[in-house]
Amino acid sequence: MARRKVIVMVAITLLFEVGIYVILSQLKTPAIEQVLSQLQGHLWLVGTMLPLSLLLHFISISISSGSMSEEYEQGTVDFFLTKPVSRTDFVLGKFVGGYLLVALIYLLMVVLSLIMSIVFFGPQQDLGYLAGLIGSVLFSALPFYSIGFMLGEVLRRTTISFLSSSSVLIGSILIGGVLVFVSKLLSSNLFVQIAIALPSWGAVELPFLYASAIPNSSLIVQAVEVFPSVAGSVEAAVLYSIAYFLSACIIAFFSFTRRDIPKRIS
Amino acid sequence: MYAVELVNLHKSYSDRNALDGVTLNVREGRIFSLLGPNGAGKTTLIRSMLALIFPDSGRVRLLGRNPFSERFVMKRVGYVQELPNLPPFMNGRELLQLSARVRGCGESRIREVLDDVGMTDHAGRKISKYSKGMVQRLALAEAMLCEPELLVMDEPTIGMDPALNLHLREILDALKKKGTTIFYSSHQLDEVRKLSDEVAIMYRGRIFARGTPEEIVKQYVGIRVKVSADNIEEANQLLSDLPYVSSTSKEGGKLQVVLKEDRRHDLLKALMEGGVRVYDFQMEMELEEAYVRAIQEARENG
Repeated sequence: MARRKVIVMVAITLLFEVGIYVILSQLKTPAIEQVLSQLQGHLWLVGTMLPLSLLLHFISISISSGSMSEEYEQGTVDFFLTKPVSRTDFVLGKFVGGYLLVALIYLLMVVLSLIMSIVFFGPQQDLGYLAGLIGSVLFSALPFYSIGFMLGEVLRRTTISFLSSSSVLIGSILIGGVLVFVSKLLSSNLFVQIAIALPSWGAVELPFLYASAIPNSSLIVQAVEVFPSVAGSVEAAVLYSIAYFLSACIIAFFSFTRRDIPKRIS
Repeated sequence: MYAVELVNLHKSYSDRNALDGVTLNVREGRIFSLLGPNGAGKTTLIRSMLALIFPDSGRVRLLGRNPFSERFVMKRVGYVQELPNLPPFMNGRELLQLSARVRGCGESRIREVLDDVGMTDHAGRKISKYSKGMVQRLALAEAMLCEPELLVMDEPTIGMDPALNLHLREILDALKKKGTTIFYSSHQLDEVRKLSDEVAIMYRGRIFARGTPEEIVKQYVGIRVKVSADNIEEANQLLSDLPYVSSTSKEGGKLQVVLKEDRRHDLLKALMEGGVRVYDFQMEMELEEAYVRAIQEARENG
């Protein structure tokens, strides 16, 4: 099951990344060609940043929400916990292992976007920002990865925890949008502050805030941000991301180390 | 020294007491069997012993260590669960390699334990492709891999074919000879009688009977002796008048004698002094009947 899930995710990643650049290279109208000719040195940003708004978080949730719950559903948690393995080691191993998988999938996206952008659009510029961008993306994946992990541990059912985590992600994005709209209507900054405090804001915005520092790339950065951006600072994004990450981790940790391990659930 | 020490274990769920003050010690090197109807609390007890379930109160020690805080003790403990759930994406050999690594015992015994359970030819196949019996065999191999000092088995014979069942007894006998303590939960009373040094019967979270299989039978069925002799009629007349004999009956050329107290020696002496030639004289071990009566008594006593 887990292996099949990884294969599907890698396939989606390949299709997504290759698809983006094939489509971009096929846009032949003079106006688009003119725009692309100005941006072609930064087109590596398209493949590295377009998945951030939704795809990467769905991949994170998909991996993390099943990380613990699949062990319960298959009953394999008994196998490991009757060995000289502490519950802390087990839950940390599961968390880190799943997160490394998310990181590997994102790195695959980055590698593909670099290869495809060079193949289709020639040499790329400002690649010195790439490491920082990868760091900010992997950091911003933590809140929803942790929320999925926590719900997987607490609910101990893969489908329910995936649906709940996805609801938190989508609900948070939608509510954020509504709050921004209301704040514009009422000319009140309070609603923007609430939108910033939602888990999706830091998770989605942080890499875009970082990328806005890359010279001559603002058009691409704005274009690949699928959801309307909400103004805020890097510090706020980092702080809220850490807060959601830590809260979810603490709940998951206490749930796993304090609760009984039931006999196989399904 | 005790391999298993459980002191006043309590575990309650919203609707019932799964463990109600269980105190139990099992000496090293013994085969201990835990009996009881479904829902008696056997699995809860075993899962509490293995630190999979947190008891509400009480103390658990395995091989003198607390399995909740001193996890290293699990290197010396093997566990075969009822219908084992092993990682389905691995093959049998990979699972044993993983187990050896986690328990830190090296991979040198993998071939030996696979041979022991007749799984050598299937070790390269994915566990998801195994039959129930094969999974059970592999789980047994995995539990024995690091030569555990304590082997905990929760109804291990479910899904086993009769040949493996018989083989399991040989394996357990061999382990016992090596000094392994075996904590065994089963509904197979015939196996339990043949294997166990000691038996405990559980009902509604309590252990209410404990002893050797013989002691349990004595307590709940009484002492039944089957006598085979040259003259059954004369033997019957001789014995039926004895004050410690409760009843006698003839069964297929043998005499069955029920004693009020354990005076088998006196019984045999009386037969011999009465001039009856005794060919066979043995106590009947009706553990199944004793078990049924014990559960009945426990039910009546609430």
